[in-house]
Amino acid sequence: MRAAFLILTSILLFANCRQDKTVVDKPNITTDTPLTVYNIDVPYRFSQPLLPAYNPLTVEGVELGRKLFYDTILSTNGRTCSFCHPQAKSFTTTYTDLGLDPALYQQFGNIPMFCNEAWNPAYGWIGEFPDMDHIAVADLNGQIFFNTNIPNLITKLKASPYYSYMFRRVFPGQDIYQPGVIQEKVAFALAQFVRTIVVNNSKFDKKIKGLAVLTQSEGRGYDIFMNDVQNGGADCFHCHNYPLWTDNAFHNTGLDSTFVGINRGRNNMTGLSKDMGLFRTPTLRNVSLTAPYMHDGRFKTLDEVIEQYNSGVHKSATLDPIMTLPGKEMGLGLSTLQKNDLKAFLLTLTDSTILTNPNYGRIK
Amino acid sequence: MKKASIIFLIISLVTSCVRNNSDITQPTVTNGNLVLQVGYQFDNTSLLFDTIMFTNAASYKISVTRLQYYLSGFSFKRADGTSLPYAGVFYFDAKDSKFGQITFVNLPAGNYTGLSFNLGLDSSINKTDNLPPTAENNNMVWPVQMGGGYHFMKMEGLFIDTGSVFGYAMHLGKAPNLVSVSLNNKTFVIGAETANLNIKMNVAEWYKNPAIYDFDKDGNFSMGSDTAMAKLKNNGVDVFN
Repeated sequence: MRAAFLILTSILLFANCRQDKTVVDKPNITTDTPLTVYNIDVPYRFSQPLLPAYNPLTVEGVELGRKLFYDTILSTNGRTCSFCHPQAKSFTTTYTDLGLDPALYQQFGNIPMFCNEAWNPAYGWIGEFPDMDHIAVADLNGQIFFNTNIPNLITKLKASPYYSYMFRRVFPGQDIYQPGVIQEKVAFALAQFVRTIVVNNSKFDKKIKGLAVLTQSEGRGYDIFMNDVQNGGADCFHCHNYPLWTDNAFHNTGLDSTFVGINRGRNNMTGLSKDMGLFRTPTLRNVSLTAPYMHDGRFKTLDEVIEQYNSGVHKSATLDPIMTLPGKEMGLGLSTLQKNDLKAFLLTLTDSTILTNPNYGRIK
Repeated sequence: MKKASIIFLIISLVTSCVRNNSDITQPTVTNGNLVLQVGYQFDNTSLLFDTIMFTNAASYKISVTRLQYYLSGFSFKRADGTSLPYAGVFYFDAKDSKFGQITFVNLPAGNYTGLSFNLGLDSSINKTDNLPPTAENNNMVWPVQMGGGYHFMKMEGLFIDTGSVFGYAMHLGKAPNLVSVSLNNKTFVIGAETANLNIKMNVAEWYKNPAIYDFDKDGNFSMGSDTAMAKLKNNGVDVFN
């Protein structure tokens, strides 16, 4: 009797284990199989990516994030992450193009592109997100973009053979189907995918590798960009330095002299007077594809941006010291030719390959 | 027989332990570590960032908003008169405690009476793309168009001139502007315990001794002016104490 009971128990346990580990669409892999490390190919002169130990990149996590990125399952209004961050537009777009109220620029700011995020130490225009891994939590909890219903989301994810498997695979042994937990795990997976978007195949990148030659105008623009004012340059490099074309620091570059609402910048987060009007330096990679510009999308074209620095710098108590150029406190005073050359150089920072790179697209 | 074996085993173990204990001798410490910590002051006041509160030698009220630099070419002076070079380039950011100290490892034990180092990079190091591509090093690049290599120092802030606020950027770079520093009155002992050595950068010294640096006359941007940088370099020799 005792032996029979033990045999029965063993059979039940075995059957239970098999049931737990067998997956409908990936029968050869169990949730116990170790995850596969995802290695980012670090481009030339890039630093090592900043990858948090609590959300390591794995092939499976990246795939899950990529699937979620393009899936309406996260929302109740048919939207996806790619709605605001479409690959075809370098992972950003305009509120107007989305049919949304342009007043959102004043509420949430310009929609950030996704570009080399694995190298960013902080996120958001004012560094309001200390890591990428929790950014999507705000979207899932908010009602503006996704209007997510968390209990419904849990039900839908559980009902999906793919997600049911992949969440257990990527986050093994964790009870993720809990309000508050599921948002984090979704955000973790999304962050993993977004971190794999590497933008490093522009004409200028090819020039660095000896695979392209800048035109005369582009070359002159490069020199203007890389020289300080005393040498006839525009001193752009101090904030927009190669290879990320951003120093990832916060600056007041003279957009305003008085500060209201979103234009208060980092002060809205820290409350410190020294942070009034400061914003994180945006990368210039794909700048030609990512209009409008500045934190509030105030400039529609690159010409407007260049003109801002050429003649429209506003003085204030927190204006970055680098912007108080000797004799040129209101702007650079570049000639039309110099402005055109500078723009020509900026266009060489375009990597249009990411617009169609299948690794970043919807999983078929 | 069995009982005897157990007793023998116990005795052997005990004597073994006793013998081991009696054999312990203090090993001679031959090497040790030194932690060098850099603090910041403006003359006799601790440096407070982002507030226009200090008056420099040219009588401008100034603030400091950024202070980043490299130290390299370390050499430690031993009590016997010999010097011990220590290779390496060390990045400092006065606003970020992650970049506030250096740990020198495996220094020979003994008494030391001083040290010397460079603020900046000597010409063997100061070459474009020569340092590892960390975020910090990438942010310190000195463009090829302006000579190449790296910034030795970026010191920025605001100052008040005739009632108005302006910015300044005291950037130092290029081979002739390497600042050589000697601190001959710093004694420390390297031994079993990690030694600690605190030095301070007196920011006010960048603007005086031997020459007063005046933003109006010498420029509030130094990077494009070899003359301005030479003045800073000469003033920089005694910024550390």
